Amino acid sequence: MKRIQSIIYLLLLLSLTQLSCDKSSDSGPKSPTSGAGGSLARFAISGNYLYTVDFSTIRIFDITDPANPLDKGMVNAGWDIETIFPYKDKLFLGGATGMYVFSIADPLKPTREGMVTHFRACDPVVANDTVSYVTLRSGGPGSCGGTNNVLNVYDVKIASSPNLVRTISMKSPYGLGIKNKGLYVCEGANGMVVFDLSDPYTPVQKQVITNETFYDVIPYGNLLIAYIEKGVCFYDISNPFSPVLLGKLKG
Amino acid sequence: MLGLCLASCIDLGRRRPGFREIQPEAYVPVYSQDPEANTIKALPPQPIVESGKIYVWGNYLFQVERLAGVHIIDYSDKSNPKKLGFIKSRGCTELAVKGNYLIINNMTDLVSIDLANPVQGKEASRIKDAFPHFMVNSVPPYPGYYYVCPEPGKGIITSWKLEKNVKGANCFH
Repeated sequence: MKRIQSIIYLLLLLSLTQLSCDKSSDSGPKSPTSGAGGSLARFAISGNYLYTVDFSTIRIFDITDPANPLDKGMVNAGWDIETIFPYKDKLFLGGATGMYVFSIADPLKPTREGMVTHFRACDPVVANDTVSYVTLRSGGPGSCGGTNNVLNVYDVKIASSPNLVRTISMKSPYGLGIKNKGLYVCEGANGMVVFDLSDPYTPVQKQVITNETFYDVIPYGNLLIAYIEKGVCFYDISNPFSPVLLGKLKG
Repeated sequence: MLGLCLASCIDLGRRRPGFREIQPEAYVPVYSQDPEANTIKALPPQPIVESGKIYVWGNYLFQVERLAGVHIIDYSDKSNPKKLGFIKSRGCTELAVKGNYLIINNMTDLVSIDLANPVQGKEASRIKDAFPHFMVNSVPPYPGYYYVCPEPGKGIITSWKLEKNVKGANCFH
């Protein structure tokens, strides 16, 4: 059965700016209260709450005391939800029929604000005030139906009604991440594509790293941590367009 | 994806035109009881085979071993990242960190793990059946069939049997 996997990635410029301003270390914060996950996550932490997505619900846990998470109930989310990304007072969900935007102004009552259904999307959602990057993948495990392998660029200045501004052909996109002007799109066995976001609405391909099978990335300070087949690898992205391999762990 | 219960596992089969109270042919889940399935355990480093999602926390990186647990990796020397240990957690696919606690799923349970000593993997608390849809093997191997909807309380689904004249096959995949 041919299915499509789609990946939504909305950039969070604010949080990224904060990360990139951490000059105390070239390897990310040393004593973080919470860490960072990839764009494929079904768990997302916002403040003292853990939000999780499974199939059609958002579940809410109070983790003020993380030793004792408290179940705070659930809300109906949509259809075939695969990923969740928190940004400011919003949750961005990637589902089989589109992307959903929920307000968590009241953290215990996520409320749907908007959605986009003109693309099929079922993987990562990460967001930013002005622009989002969405990948759609056809075929392969974890796909959600559809026919394209593309990177879509959306203007999300109005979060409740994203506006498609560009579509870029890809081979088999999975998770993705951004750091400053660098956009990193994992393409499974087809490697990882590095884009220049000097114009955020016009990503320009700079290079393809093809020595591994890439599934997702976490930009963390000047580090890019990649989830690859059978392990992880670490790149220095001080120069965002020329990742330098620092080391890897496989098997 | 990853054996998670997706669209088909909701009890929607009854609304389909082909639904019958007694289905001529339908899949039935085969459960097994594993007393250790809903426990976590700290183990020495294990090989990374089915690599899964990652979460970074200071100089530690956690990587899911799909449906098996979480690798604890010390990457303070990036040229020589090292596995420190493994937290066995059946059915694990998800992870996040808050404060000094790693929050994961263990089958359908939510578990909080104290990271004061990461390699000890000490369970701090657990919420039973927090994620009923995180069942492993939650849908039959082939689409296009009615099936008996899985129930988290009945154990681990190890396989599916195609049977004749099945009552209560309320799910469709």
